Amino acid sequence: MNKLLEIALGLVTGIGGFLEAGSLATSAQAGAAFGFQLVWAIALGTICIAFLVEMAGRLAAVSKHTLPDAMRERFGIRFFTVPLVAVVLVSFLVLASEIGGVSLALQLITGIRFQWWAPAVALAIWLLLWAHNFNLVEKGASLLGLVTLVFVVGALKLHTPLSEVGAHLLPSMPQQDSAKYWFMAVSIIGASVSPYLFYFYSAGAIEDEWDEGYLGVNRFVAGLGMGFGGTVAVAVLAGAAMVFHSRGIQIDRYEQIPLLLSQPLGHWGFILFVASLGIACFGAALEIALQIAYLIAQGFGWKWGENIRPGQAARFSLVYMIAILLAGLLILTGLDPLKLTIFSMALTALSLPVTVVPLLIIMNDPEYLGENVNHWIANAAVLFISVIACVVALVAIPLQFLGGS
Amino acid sequence: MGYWRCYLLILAISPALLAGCQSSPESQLQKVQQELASWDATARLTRELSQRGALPPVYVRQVSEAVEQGRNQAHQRAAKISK
Repeated sequence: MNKLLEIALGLVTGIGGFLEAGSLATSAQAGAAFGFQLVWAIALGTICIAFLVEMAGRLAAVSKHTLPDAMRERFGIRFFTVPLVAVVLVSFLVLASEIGGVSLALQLITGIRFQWWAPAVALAIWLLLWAHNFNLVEKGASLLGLVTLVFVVGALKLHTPLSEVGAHLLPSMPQQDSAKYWFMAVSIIGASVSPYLFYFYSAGAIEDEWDEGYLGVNRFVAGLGMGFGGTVAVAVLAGAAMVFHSRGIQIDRYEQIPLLLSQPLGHWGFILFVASLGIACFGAALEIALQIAYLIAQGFGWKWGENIRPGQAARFSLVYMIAILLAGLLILTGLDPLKLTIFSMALTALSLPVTVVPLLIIMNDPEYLGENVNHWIANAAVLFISVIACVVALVAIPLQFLGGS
Repeated sequence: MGYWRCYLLILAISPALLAGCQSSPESQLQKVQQELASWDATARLTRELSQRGALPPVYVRQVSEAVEQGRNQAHQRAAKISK
């Protein structure tokens, strides 16, 4: 019964926690610009993150090591610095994007510019992390995040042709604007395979004291949870294709995106969009701030944990406080949250080999996993997607900037 | 040369290698035209939904501002390209 509850909660976490500023913005932009053509990028990203989350959970359950902990032990502190810097940098930018997303949700309902909301949002995130335990942060945010299922309802009400969506599960070449197409593709993959997702998951498995008995639960949660989460992202893309692409509207500002739900759902569409954006980004911001603190504390061997009092893990608490403060300040400068989000996602794709390859090496080491080492299919799938995404990002990012977008 | 150094080197030189790939003024102008048409369509859709009572006035004002800013920026870019 307890395991069933764990699976149910895990699925809720997968669905409610998947959509955030990155996946929402990239899916909406892609649907508006290219119709259903980029569904394959979400599918590819979802497969990759499902494998990675499963690996991170398996590592924690079998070896009792979190990812950073194992990396530092296996490769030494000098090598560990490379993924540490890459993940902290990318996660920091994503954290700022999420704070921007919550602030924008508040702007949409009040009319007060998003940057003025950033300090209040940052303070609320910090207070929640300071005063509450891991379960409330993770499960509470994910439960509320179920509101994002409204995008599936919206896509269905728009009579989205499911056969056409299915037909684009396989990659196709763009008919126009190749640079933007590939840039969007890597941004979508970057949004789906955000390192914070699997780093946070591994820390969560340790906080929840998983053992080898949880391997089945882990597999279910990673596969089904991420699969359902990916479906919500596809629904955003499909909705954007139906509402925006058919009218020749491209998404250049966040302010345009609520129309995606207002068209099929009327007044409630607007309200539910704002709720989805605010809750999804707030939940993601909580997780990313914690993940940055987990990463640094676990990497340097400091005392850590969201289930212990902040005073007992002072350096851990200080790290998330500084991360939230700096990310809030970045949004306070008035930086365009949509551009920041899309850029952060492309950068995430670029950094994938740095964050993923060390994990794959550990996952194939019997000293950590015993007989539970990776199957070759998991190695091949993750390595292939990460390297392809990185190479495409390497070409598409400069091209996109030179194109003036 | 180690794997990491190669990776960093590729990262550093790729923008320079791609500098020659900048799009032509004609295609840049075409993009601006598309952008202007996109803002016009955004304004139309917002008006249509607003008339149906689907959007609060505070939001309609924000979209109108975004449309105006977007149009102005696109016009400025078009003038810059035409020079």
